[in-house]
Amino acid sequence: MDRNARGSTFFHRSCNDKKGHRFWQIGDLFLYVIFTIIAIVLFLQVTSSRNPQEHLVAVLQVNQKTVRRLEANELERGGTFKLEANGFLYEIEYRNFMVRVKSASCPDKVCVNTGWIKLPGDLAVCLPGHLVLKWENGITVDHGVDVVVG
Amino acid sequence: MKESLNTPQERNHKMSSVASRIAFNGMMAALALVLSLLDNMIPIGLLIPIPGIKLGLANVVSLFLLFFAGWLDALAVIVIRCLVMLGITGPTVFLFSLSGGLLALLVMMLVRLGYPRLFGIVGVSISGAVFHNVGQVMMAAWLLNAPGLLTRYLPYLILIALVTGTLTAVAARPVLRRAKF
Repeated sequence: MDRNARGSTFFHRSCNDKKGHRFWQIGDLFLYVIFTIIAIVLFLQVTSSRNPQEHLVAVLQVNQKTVRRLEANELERGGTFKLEANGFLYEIEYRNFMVRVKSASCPDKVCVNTGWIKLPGDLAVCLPGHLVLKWENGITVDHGVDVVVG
Repeated sequence: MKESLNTPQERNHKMSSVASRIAFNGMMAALALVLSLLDNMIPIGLLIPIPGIKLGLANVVSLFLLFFAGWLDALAVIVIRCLVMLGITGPTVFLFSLSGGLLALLVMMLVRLGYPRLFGIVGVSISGAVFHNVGQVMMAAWLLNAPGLLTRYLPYLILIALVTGTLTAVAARPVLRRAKF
């Protein structure tokens, strides 16, 4: 790679090319460490707060408005329903206190690929349909208006 | 270690005519656009289920321009790329590209202040990659009113960005080495 850099150390050659561009520097290692620590701390923080909790309800939002709330008894019983959001058709499935977007007519299918959401903090989102499926504390029960159920 | 890269102002001076600068930035915008479209084809959504999330391959161009021409050229290319993407892929990807690209550029500019004494090209690149992802997810969290997105997926996104940022630097290195300035 650096044919003109004969005589220099391996580290020197790997850090600098023939124009002397500084590829690696000690501060880069610091950045790697800092970003990795931030990632690990955030990961631990998120996982530690994700113990299964009672009184959680699954909330389905479209255009930032709650269109359906699934209470504990419904989540235990299980079932499916369909809804339309911003021109896309979704099928939501729930059972054993888990919820997922079973199928969707949106182009990217990210919401379907997310799979089951079961713990606080889990969420499935679909940007084309502006749809969010997430958990909320169910102490305040506020039944929203269903869009299309069929 | 000697300062080997000239300042962007000196380089801009060498690109003497405005026409050549426009043509050069046009080429860079075209390259960035191709990389963005390539980015769209990589199904990273299967790994990280955040809608619209991208690897940020176009950051190679931003990184190169930041070192070769200066932040203004990098900014112009990002805006042009995002505007063309708006016509091709729609407003959602446009907002993601713009928020990720601009935040990445801002952070890369800040880290570049420490180049070459404190940080190398890799440091500038990984900082850009991390904040490219942060910018995109912040936009998604804002659009969907789902701040949980940020905390839920940020750890994975940071780790992925360390890999993609390193690859971006490796990709930009031979170009920077061969660039005549």
